[in-house]
Amino acid sequence: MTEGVDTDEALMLRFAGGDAGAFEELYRRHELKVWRYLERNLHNRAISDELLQDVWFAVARSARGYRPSARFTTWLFTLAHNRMVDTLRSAQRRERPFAVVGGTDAVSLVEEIPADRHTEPAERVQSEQHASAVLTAVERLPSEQRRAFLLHAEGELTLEEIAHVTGTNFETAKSRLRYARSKLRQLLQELA
Amino acid sequence: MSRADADDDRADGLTERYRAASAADPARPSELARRSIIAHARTLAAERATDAPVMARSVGSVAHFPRWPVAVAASVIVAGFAAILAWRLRVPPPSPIQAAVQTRPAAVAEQRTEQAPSGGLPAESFVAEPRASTPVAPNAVTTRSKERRLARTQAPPGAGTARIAAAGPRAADKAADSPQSMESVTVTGMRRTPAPADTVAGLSASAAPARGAPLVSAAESGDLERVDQLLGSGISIDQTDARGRTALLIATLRGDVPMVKRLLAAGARADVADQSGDTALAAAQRQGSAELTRLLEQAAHR
Repeated sequence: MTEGVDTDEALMLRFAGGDAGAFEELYRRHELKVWRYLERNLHNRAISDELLQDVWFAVARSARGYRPSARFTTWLFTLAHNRMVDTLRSAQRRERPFAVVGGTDAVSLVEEIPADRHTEPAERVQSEQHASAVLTAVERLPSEQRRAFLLHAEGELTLEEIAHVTGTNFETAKSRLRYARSKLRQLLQELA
Repeated sequence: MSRADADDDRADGLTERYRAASAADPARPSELARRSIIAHARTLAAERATDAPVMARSVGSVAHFPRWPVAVAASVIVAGFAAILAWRLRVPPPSPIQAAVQTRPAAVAEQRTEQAPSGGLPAESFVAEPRASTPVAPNAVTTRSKERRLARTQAPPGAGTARIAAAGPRAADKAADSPQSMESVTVTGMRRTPAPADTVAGLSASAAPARGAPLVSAAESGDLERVDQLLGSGISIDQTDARGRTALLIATLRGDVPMVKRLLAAGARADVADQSGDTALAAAQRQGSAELTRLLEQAAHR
């Protein structure tokens, strides 16, 4: 960490003391990570926006009682993950108002993948095609593997932290991440 | 992550490839969500900024402060009071000399001090209030509530503390020393706070000098509603602050025309001078305020 740059935990404590700028810095650092975790699991921007608000509202509300016993990002992704799971459960009760892909939620993978990512024009540069293929492959992962992979790749969480966020043990988190990588390699070969 | 996983990841660079692809993805959360979150946080931060000192004090004093010293101190104090009470209950009735001392306010302390060795009582006991069974002179005052009650019954009509306060602290002391005021002298010979002779705006008169002149304060802050409230309670319109300034003078100095009109309508005098000889009329003329000058001249000639 560069000297003079506050850690996430220090920013939270500053915000708890009434420093709005600290929160804005914290939000700037993690906004996209959280939103991408939500959006790439839910595939619905409106609901992802809504959940993003819920998560950060909860962060803001909880700042006063915040104790930096764990990494801020672990707590942040736990909030995001729990809200996402709640939303998925309620969506299932409401007869699937929005698409959910992967794992047991998988419907039609081809149908659910955003059209623009499938209809990349041939003239696009190879790197863009490759980026699109990676994102598409991630979307095709079973949900639990995708969550584990996104928590690792987006949230930069360790296996212990992934286990904590998803409510599993270390070995399960490790297995999911390993299977996710294996599946991604397979999907990327198929998409190549 | 385990070493095997890390090596595995490095081999195909999946994580890095995903991060690169993700960074290139233009999809972003909506601006509305972003604004809403930031606005919410700013609101909470503003609330916390004002609450923080209070919270810090309360947390420091309640949550983290060890309670046992408080409990011990409280126990010691209670035990001390109990011991004093028990000791006082066994004290014999005062000697004739002590009784005489209580009937003569002057030079009380000296006599009690002289009496202490022969009476076998410690000097500290003399600062305490007399016991209920101890004969008390008719004009001796034992409690503050009794002071107030007696003051209300004995103060001459019109001897309100508003006027005493208006004449300044020295006058208040003088009034307190006068026979008409309810001077209170304890058995220690120390003079207490001058007893109130009246009440002002629901406040005990004894508190009025300490609080200053409420009408002047209200005029100073431009609080017309408060001025109306005070005038409605019968407060003296020409009440002055420590520098002898009336509410009218203050309002004139502030150029507060509505306040000046209100005070003049209530009968404020424009020619009351403060300690430096300044009057509201002179202040208005000095400031070149034609409207205030006209208003105050009209009031001066009525």
